Amino acid sequence: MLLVEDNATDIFVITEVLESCGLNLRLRISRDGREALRYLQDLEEDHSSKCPVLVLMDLNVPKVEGIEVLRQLRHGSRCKRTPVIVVTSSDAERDRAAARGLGAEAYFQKPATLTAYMELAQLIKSVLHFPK
Amino acid sequence: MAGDAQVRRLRTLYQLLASLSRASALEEVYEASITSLLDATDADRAAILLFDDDGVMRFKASRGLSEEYQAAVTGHSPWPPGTIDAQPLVVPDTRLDASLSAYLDVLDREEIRAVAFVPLALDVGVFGKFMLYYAEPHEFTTGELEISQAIAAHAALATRRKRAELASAQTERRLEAILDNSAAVIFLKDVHGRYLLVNQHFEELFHVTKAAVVGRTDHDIFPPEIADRFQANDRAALAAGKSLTVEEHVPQDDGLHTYVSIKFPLRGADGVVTGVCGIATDITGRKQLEAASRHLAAIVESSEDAIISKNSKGIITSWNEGAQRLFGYTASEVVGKPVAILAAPDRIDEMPGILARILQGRRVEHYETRRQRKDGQIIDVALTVSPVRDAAGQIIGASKIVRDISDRKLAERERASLLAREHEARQTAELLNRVGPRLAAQLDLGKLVQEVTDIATALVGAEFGSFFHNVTNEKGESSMLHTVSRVGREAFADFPIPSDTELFGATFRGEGILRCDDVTRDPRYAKNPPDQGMPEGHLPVRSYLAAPVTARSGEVLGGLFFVHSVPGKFTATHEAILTGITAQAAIAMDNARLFEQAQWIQAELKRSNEELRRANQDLEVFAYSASHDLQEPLRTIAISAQLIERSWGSQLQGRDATFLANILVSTTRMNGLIEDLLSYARATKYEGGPAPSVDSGRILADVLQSLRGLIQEAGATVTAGELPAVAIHDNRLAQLFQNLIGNAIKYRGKEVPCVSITATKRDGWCVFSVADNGIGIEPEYAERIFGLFKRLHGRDEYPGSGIGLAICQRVVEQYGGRIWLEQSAPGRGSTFCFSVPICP
Repeated sequence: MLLVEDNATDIFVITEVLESCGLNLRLRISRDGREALRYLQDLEEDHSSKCPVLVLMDLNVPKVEGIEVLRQLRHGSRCKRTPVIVVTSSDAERDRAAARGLGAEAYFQKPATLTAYMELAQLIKSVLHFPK
Repeated sequence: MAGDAQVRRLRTLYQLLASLSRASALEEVYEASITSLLDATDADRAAILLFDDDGVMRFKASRGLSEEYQAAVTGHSPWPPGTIDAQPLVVPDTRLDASLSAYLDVLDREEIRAVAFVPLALDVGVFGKFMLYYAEPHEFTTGELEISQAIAAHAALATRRKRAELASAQTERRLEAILDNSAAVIFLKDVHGRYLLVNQHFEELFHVTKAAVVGRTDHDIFPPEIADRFQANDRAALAAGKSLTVEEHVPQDDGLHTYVSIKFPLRGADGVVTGVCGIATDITGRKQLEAASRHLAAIVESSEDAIISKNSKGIITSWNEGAQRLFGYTASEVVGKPVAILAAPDRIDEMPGILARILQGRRVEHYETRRQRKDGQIIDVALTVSPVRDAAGQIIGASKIVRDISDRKLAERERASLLAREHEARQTAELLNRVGPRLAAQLDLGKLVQEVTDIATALVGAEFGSFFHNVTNEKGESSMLHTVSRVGREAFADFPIPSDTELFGATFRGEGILRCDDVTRDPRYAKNPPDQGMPEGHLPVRSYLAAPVTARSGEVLGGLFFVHSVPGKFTATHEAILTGITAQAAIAMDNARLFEQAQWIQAELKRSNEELRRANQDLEVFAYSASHDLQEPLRTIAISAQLIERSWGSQLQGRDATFLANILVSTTRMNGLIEDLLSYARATKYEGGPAPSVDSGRILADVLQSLRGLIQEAGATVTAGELPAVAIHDNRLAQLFQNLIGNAIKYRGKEVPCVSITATKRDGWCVFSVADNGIGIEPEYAERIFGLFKRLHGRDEYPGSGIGLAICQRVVEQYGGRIWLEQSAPGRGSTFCFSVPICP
């Protein structure tokens, strides 16, 4: 499972959310877009490795925009079917449309309360249990 | 023998006297004389010759002479005519006489050897001769010559007497012929009134013969009273002893005739009056003519019209009362003068033409022309001119009837002038109607003034025209420009702009049209230094026409100036045309200026719209960045604070707990503010076409549904009237309702809140009003409440960021509408109104 996120607080909260889901998955965290792309490139080249079961993607990340990372994932060959949930503080229609256009399974706007944040768990479960 | 000869001579003489006394013609006198000569002498041939009136001796009678001989000797005379005491000449032998040598051959051929010349003479001298011819030489005896002289003396006397008789008879015949051929009645009466002689005309008129009338008196021929009058006149003439002229009336077959009789006494050779002679001329026809003529003259004199006659040379020969009245001249002033004195100065040329026409025998009828009175006044007249002929049909002049038609002409002229003026006015109006749209269509101020100048210059017929007009540039600086027409700008390049001189100033001050036939004679002309008139090199100017162009506001936009080098070129009509043009030009210039302003405003509007759009765009960009860049750290703070609270909340004490709580509250509020700001930024009109029609009632129902929680919590009553369809995007209308109704409930007083929504349509707009019974607003805050983040109350009292009404105002204004606080007072509730467009 891949989490592309630079905000430590968010990383902490999302880790808690994943724990609350009861999913015991190996979590790989990329703290910027370039790092994420490098990982994806490695996956593409190493045929023995497994594609992540899910990608949680923040759009506003350093170096390379999240949308660009998503685009390259979808245009790769091996892991292009990996489900993606965009987790971002943006509620701009522009961003929602871009995510939708690149085949993101879900879009979660980061809330300002922990309670609301925890609802991300439900979304992750539904994506994993009912992939498109 | 001598006694026999003597006897023969006496007998011959006796027989001659008898013959002469019987002779009725001169020829008989001559023949008898020759016969006597041949009887009384030994001559075998004889002849008588007389001087004619030219003094040439010619044969009157002869015996035994050839024609040749007579012709050869005619003219020969021993004596000149009238010789006194001429004596007979004898030539006993022609061959021996030298005096006849010239005739010797002639005499020999005629076998004449001796001749005698015997003079025929009276107290007046020789007037002829007897010739005695002899075939043999002859010795003349005394007796022969004496008897010849005696015969000559008798023949001479007889010839004279006969000549006198013949002359007398001829005179009588001539007189008789004259009398008989006279048209007059001629008669002779003796002192007792007895007719001695009447002429043929008398015979014919009174049916008498000369023979029958002689010896009779007038009483035998005429009625008694006529006869008495005749005789009285005869006696008067006799008593006067000289010729009298009297008028006498005589009955004739065709009625009473009038005669002019000249009666005079006849005297004998002794001077004693022997009778009276009368010569009477019938003047009945002349009398009738005179009467007719007097009648005609009366008609002519009493005629209203002037009746004038003139001779073939155009000299006035008669002049009636009417003529005097019409022309002011008396007859004595003009008769004998040429008719040309009556012609108007501009019509003198036509008179020879009229006269020529008359002399051709043609009439001139109802010829309308102009004549001049004695006092110089010109009058309109109608002429009828007819040729006048003498008895032989020769044209000797003309009669002319002149009628004064000045009144009629005046009326005609007035009517023509009215028609002309009406026509002119109509033309001017049409002209201006054509010019108006052309000027109105020209919105470029520069082209417009040129067009105005060109059109006006052409219409007033100026040699050149110019338009001086004020212009104000963008910086508000005023200056004067000018356009010219029909002449190059360079013609004025060196001259100063017309300034506030006496002449130009009036126009630039807007004091109306100024028209001068000759500007150089205008008192305002040449009053200003330095030029004192036109500057040197200026085009010549006499006629001057200037008009101000004045805007509706009263501002003088400029002046139109037209000139011509010939004086008196501009008329009242040109002035009228110019008045029209300046009015149209002023309107067109106003329009052009407005158009320029409108264009500027439009450009300005476009620019400000662009600015607005950019500002909106900036706001959206801001809003977007706010959602990411502002909200992101805030959210991180909030989440982090919550994590701290979750981990340490129960352990924090006192101030620390308060600080953490403040962080949490402030982040929440900050988040709310950002959300509101975002809403405000997005409260713009959707781009891409006009708003669709929206059922405002349906939108209200949706809004009330979403506000259900709030309404129920407050126990509020919301009522709405009939709501129309409006042209505004549905979510924007919902925003308006939501904010206003939400406020109405939020700012409630102690009473149960009651909200009423109504709508009224007016002039393409729908005004919604939302009235409540809440706490109300102080009037002084009526404007301020629409400001961004403006609040009137403490946050503890009434929550909220103070952005609701600002958003409402922004939304409404995006659609061109307005929002305002209709009425409010503290504790008495508020009514908010907003207007949005209705679907067209």
